[in-house]
Amino acid sequence: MIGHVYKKELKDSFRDKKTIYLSVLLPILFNIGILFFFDMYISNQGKDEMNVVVNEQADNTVVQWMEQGENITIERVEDPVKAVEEGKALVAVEIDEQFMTRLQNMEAPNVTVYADQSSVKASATSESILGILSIQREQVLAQRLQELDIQTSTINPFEVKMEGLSGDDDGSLYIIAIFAQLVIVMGVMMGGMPAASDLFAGEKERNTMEALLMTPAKRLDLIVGKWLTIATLGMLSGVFSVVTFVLFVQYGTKTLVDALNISDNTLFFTGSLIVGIIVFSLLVACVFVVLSLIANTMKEAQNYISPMMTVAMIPYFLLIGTSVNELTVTHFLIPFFNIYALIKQLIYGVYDVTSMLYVAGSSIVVIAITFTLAYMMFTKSRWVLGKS
Amino acid sequence: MIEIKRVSREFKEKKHTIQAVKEVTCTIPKGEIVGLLGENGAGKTTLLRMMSTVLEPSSGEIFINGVNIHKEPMKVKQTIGVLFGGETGLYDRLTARENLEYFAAFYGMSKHETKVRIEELAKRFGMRDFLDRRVGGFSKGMRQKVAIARTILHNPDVIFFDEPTTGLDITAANMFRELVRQLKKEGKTIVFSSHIMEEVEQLCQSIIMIHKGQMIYQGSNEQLYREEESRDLNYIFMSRIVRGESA
Repeated sequence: MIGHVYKKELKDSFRDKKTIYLSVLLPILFNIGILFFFDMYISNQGKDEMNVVVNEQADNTVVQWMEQGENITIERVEDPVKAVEEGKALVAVEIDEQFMTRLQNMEAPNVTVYADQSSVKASATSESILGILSIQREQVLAQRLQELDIQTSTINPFEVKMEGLSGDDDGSLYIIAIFAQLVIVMGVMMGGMPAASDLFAGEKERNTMEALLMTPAKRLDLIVGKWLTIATLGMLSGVFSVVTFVLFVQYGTKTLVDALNISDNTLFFTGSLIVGIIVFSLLVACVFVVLSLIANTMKEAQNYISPMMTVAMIPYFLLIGTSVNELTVTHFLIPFFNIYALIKQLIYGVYDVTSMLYVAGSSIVVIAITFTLAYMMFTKSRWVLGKS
Repeated sequence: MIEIKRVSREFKEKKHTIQAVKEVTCTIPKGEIVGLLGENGAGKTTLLRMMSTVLEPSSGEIFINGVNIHKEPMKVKQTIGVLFGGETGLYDRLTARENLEYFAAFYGMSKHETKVRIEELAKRFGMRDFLDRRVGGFSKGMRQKVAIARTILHNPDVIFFDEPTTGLDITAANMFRELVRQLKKEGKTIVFSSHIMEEVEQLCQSIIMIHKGQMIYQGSNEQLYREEESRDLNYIFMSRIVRGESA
C-alpha cells in the first residue's frame, strides 16, 4: 500500500508545473549560469590590460623595465596620481628625476607606486610592478657586490620559499569544489520543496487529507509514501544537477575542464556521490515533512521551508575555507556538514570508504529521529486537519 | 445503527478551552435518514467528524453497527462513507477515474471490482464522458458528482454528509436529493447536516438539533411537529434555540 500512495503522489507531482521547474529546469539553468559566468571571469583575468602612468620626466630605462611585465601598458602624463584618481589608469608610478644618473653615482633615488588597494585589478597591477622593480634592484645589488668581490650569500644567509599543497595551481579545482557542493545541495533541496508543501499542507488546505483519513488507509503508509515522494524528487534533482554540472564543465568551459578528472576512480566516485545524495535527500525530506505538517496552508508551508535553504548555507560557508586535508571525522558525522565534506573530498580525489559510511550512518540516525517525530505528529488530529 | 453515548469534545486554545460538543447522547436506527441542524459553530461538523473517525471524542463513546469507533477504527472506516462539503477532497491533477481508483485501493477493492464499480457509478451519475479528464477543470456540479461517487464507491452502510449542497446550482442540488432517496431505498443509514430546512423536511425522517454543543432535540419529524404545533422547521428551530431546551 505504501507503493500505491507513492506512485500516485509521484504522478500527481510530475503533473505539477512547479515540480518540473524546480526539480528539473532550475538545477540545469543554475549550473549553466554560474559556471558560464565564472569560467568567463577566469578567462578574462589573464587578458586584462594593466594601464600604468608615469611622470613625464621618468627615465627611459626604468620605463623599459616595467614594460617587460605581461599586459602592462605605460603612458607618460603630467600628473600620474591625478590620472589614477580620475580612473584613467590603474597604477601611478613616480620616478625621481635623473634616476639612472643618480643610481650610477651611488645615490638612492626613489620610485613610488600609487594604487587603490580596494581594486582587485589595481592590486594585481601594483604587485606586478613592485615585483619587477624588486628584481631589478636585486640585480643592481648583485652587480655591485661582484665589483667589490663579495659573495651574494654574505648578505643573504638563507632563502625562504612557499610551496602550495593543494596540488592545483590555478585554483580551478577549488572553484569546482565550491560550486559542486552548492549545486548538489541546492538541487536536492529545491527538488523536494514543491512536493513538500503540497503533499501535507496542500492536502490539508484542499481537504483531501481529511478524505484520506476517513478511509482505512494506514497513516504509516500515507506518511511513508509521501516522504519517499519528496525524497525521490530531491534525488532526481540532485542527480540532474550532477549530470548537468559535469557535462557543462566538460564541454562548456575553457579553464575548468582540465581540473575535473575523475576517470581514475569513476565507480567509487559515482557510487559514493549517489549514496550521499540518497541519504541527504531522505534527511531533507524528513525535515520538510515536519515543517509541512506544522503549516495549514501551502503558503505557510513555503514560509517555513524556504529558510531551510539559508540555514543549509551556514555549514557551506563554514567549510569553504577548510582544505580537504583538514576534514575530520566530526565533519562527516554532523548532518548537512557531512554532505558538503563528502563532495569536497570526492572532488579533490580523496576516496575514503569510511567517510561515506560516516555520512550515511549519521544521516540515517537523524532521519530515524526526525521521521519518528513526523509520524507522531501525523497521528494527532491537531497536525493533520486544517483549521476548521 | 449508530449509538452515541455522552460524547464530548474540547479544543484547547491558548487561554481557554472551547467545548464544541457537550455530552451528546442519541441513537440512530439502521436505514434512517437523520438531519443534523444547528447554527454555525454549534458543533455539527465536530460531531460528524467524531462519528466518521477523524476526531476522537474527549469523553464518551460512539458505536457504529456495534463496533466501538475508538477501539476499532479501521473496521468502522471500511463501512462508512463521508462527504464534507465546501471542498470535495479530490486531486485536481488526477483524472476522475484516477481519483476513484486511488481511493478504491484503500478499501481493498480489486482492480476488476474497481473498474466495474466505476463504470456503474459513471453511468448512474451521467459522467462517463468526464471519467478520463482531469478534475481540476471540472465545474462545481461535476466535481460534486465525482466526490459523491468516491463517497459511495465501496458501498458503505453508513454515510455522512456535511452541508453537501452548499454552493451547488439547482440541478446539482436536486441530483443530490434524488441520490439520498435512492440510498434510502437501498437501506443505507444517512446523517447529514444542512442549513436548508426544505431539504431536511423533504429528505429526513428524524432530526437532531444542536445548539452551543448541546443536543436540544432528537426524534422524528412528526413528533416534533406535534410538540411544536407547527410544520415550519425554521420557526420550530428558532423557538427551540430561544428556549434553550435540552432533549
